[in-house]
Amino acid sequence: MAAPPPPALPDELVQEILARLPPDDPACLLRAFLVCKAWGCAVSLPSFRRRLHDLHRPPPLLGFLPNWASEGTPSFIPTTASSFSLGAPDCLRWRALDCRHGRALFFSVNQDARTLLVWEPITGARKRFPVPAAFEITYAAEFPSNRPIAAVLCAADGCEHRDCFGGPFRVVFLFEDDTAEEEQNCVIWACEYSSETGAWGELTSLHTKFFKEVTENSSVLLGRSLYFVATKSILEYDLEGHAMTLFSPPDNCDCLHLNLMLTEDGGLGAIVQDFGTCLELWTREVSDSTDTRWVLSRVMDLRNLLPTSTRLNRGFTVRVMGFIEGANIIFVNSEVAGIFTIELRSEQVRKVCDDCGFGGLVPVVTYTPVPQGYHQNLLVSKPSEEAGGEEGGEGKKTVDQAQQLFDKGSNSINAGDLVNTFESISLDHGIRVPGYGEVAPACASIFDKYGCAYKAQKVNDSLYSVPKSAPNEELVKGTTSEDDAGDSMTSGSNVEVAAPSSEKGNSQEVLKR
Amino acid sequence: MATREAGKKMIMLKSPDGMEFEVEEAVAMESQTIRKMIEDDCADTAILIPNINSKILSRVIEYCNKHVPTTGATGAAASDTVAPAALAEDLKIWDAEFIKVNRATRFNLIQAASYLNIKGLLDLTSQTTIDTISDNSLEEIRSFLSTKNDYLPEEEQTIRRENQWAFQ
Repeated sequence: MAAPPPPALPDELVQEILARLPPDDPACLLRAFLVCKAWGCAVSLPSFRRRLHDLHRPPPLLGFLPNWASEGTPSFIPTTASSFSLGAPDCLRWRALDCRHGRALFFSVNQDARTLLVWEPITGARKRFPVPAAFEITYAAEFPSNRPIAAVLCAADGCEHRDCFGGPFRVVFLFEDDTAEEEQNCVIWACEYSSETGAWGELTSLHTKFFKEVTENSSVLLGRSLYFVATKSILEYDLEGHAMTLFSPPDNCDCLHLNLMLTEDGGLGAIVQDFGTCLELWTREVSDSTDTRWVLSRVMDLRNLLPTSTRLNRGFTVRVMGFIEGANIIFVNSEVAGIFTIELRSEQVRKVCDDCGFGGLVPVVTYTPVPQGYHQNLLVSKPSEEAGGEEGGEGKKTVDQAQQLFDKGSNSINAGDLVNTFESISLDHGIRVPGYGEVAPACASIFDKYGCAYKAQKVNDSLYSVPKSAPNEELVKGTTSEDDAGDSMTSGSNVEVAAPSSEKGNSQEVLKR
Repeated sequence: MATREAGKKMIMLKSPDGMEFEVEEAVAMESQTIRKMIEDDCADTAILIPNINSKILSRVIEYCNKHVPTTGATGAAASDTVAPAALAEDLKIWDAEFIKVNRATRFNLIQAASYLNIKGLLDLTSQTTIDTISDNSLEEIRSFLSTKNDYLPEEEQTIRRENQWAFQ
């Protein structure tokens, strides 16, 4: 007897079912996306991200970004079970500094202009903005090696980060002025960027006596403070008062082998590595508002945890590379047999990468990104009043300013002045998009002109040496403008993909492998 | 029903096809939707459950009856004799049998679990569905859902081209 046909499932129930796919295997979701448009739409909606968040917490580790790269280093190294890729910014031009709340922060390298870039892996959106002017001065001085330390975080109060992508963010940027005459006088500067105002706030400073105070080890966010590892101390940045304070590390260690972590009960912790195989896990106990002390809570011997292959190295040196906030996981580089993650509570060890040649890394923990290439047609845009409707006079002013730039850019296209076109149109684009929302009709003409300018510049690039203004790294939602502009180049000759309309073409593809 | 212990409050649930089910209040409150109705004093007489026919509603009640916690003022003594792990294992086996239904019934159960907000039943039905289809080809899934591939060839090609890693 034939079974009765199943009832059509409404979107929310399709989401309910698909949210049960393994969160750390993005390929499953992507293949589900291709079943039919209703499924593609269901997994592209913000409500689906919220459901994933409710069912799978913390977000899964999808991979990491190397924070130091040489020729051939991939920009994103997946740690997922089956193949996965993310269109991360080119690591030869962008050094990863931090990743938190579904946003990754990069600092420009090998580029003329010093800029920062915030990238949302889930949506592919990118926003580029200049470094604080004060940093330019110290950077331009005799110490070009002065590298910034920075952290990115969601700016919404009380946000659970279920669907805050596209929302406001803050960047805390620390740098040192080591150009002082006296060796014992170093200043650490902090400055905070708000995506809502699009500007840097006031500088705050802290005088210390050591050079190279803040190290590149990752920061942790706890309550309303960010914590950074410094050379001989730990630096706390108060997100409300914008003030910095230094306090002693556990056991007065030198901090060279110290990583910060969050303890399971929500306190500040530290992982201290001796030169042997042991990790000391310390907890900072706050007995009242002023009295704090470090307490050794656990010692882990890595010899008992890591596979025997890691002991091929005579010295058995391993190095803790970072801690994943929320997931209670540390990264360990075995130096000989790959990179491992260790879940601190269960002590579950997983090898995530064969290559040990990474000085540092920034873990990417987020839910499966919306598939690239089609989602902009499916995503529901946010109402424009959310984005800028309440700004009144200010909003109008920026839109007017945008119109002027747009006109200027259009004129430049006509006059063949491609470099100016780029600056004007891309600035315009940056102003308009936050004002109107993701895919507002008002942006359409800008995209059009922008694509026009880009195509023209591509042609021009091949003929003359034009300064690269990295058009695809301005604020672009979803596919980059390079993708938009490049469609005509790929539609004709790209034969890498089998014709999808053929029923047999995908008959062997399954959701899970 | 009449032999139920005294003191247990009963609730009447009505399906749109006219069937009535008398259930213990504790069992009915496995559904967060019904719990809210009871707590808001909207359940004086019978509660009409729209869109869920008597066949499905009886299965849902069967599930809730099995999953209602036995601990409490009167049930504590009985549950002391069974280890929690054994109880959980027993429930798992029972669930596996319970969900052996055809796909139309299962989809109806998903809808009912969603409407009535019964987390355990929603987890069970959704997870079973995803387990069933995850090893199927896209074409088999479409046939399972009685749906068609409605992407235009060029749309599908774009998605595949931009996400080649998923199809390697």
